[in-house]
Amino acid sequence: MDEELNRIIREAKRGSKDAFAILVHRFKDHVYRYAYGMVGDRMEAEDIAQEAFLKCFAALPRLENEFSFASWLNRIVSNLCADRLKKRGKERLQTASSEALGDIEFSRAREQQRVQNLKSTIEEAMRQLSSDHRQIILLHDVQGFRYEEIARMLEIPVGTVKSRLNSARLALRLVMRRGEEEG
Amino acid sequence: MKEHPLEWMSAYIDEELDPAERQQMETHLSQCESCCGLMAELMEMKNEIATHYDRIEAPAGMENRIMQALERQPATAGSVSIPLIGLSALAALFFFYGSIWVNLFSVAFKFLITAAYAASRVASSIPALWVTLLAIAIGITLLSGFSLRRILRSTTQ
Repeated sequence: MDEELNRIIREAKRGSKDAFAILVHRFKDHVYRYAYGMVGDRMEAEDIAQEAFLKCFAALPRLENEFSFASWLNRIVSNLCADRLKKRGKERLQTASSEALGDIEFSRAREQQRVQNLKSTIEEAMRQLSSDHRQIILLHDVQGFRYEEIARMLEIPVGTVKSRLNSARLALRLVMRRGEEEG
Repeated sequence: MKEHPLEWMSAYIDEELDPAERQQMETHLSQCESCCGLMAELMEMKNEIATHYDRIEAPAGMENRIMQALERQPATAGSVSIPLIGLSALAALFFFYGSIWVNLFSVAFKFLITAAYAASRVASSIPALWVTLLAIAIGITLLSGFSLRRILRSTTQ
């Protein structure tokens, strides 16, 4: 992280909205990409990204170290995504009894799957993973955090990061293979 | 070493194995075709994921919408009102229970004086205790100074 960025973060910490605008510009794709990867919906991802930046601005004076800004911001987004997924899980449970609706959704999903290309195969496969597995793949392969940073962010031992990422990749490989065989 | 070290695959790809584990992994890979195949597959998958998600960008206008939402937020309402509420609560407490507080403080003060007197008597009768106490006091003062400096540095930056 360069010195220029640290200076901007320090200014934003003091409440400068101009400095914060630069941070939003610089990190918007980073935040949006993670949120989209986790929830798989563009509108919802934008909602989460917006909320994350607002929370970030409010909590910025409490940030102790500018060097950890990226992982700190990612932690905010990660928590928001977890809340959304939990809420979605509850809603899904409430509507699960409606069998007819499920049938419609299923046929729609099949139709969508038919027109999918390679790109959406990855997304579809990611969607089938558990949120823990999706999260660790996004954090490492997409956001580019090292094992130690992920361990700090998720408050788990590095060994757990190692084994979780490994099993996430093996699970993803299995899902993608199944998808290829079906397609 | 186990027959197929599947649990090390990812860490090997990501260069997160320690040198000894890496060495063992390389030895195994040089002899095992199936692990080599799996390794290549995982590496390809990792690259596909990175390339795919790298293309995803925030929608046009999101940046503006975030800044507009920030402008609409009430400026530091919470940070001003919370200390104000605290101060008024403290003032009310003194107003209603002032005499009790004064009594409490005078008792505590007297107790402190007595404790200090007793401590000095004990310490003067045992000289070794003086030295130990002095060393502890200096240690604590130095430690507090360092931590205060660290706190001030991290909050003012």
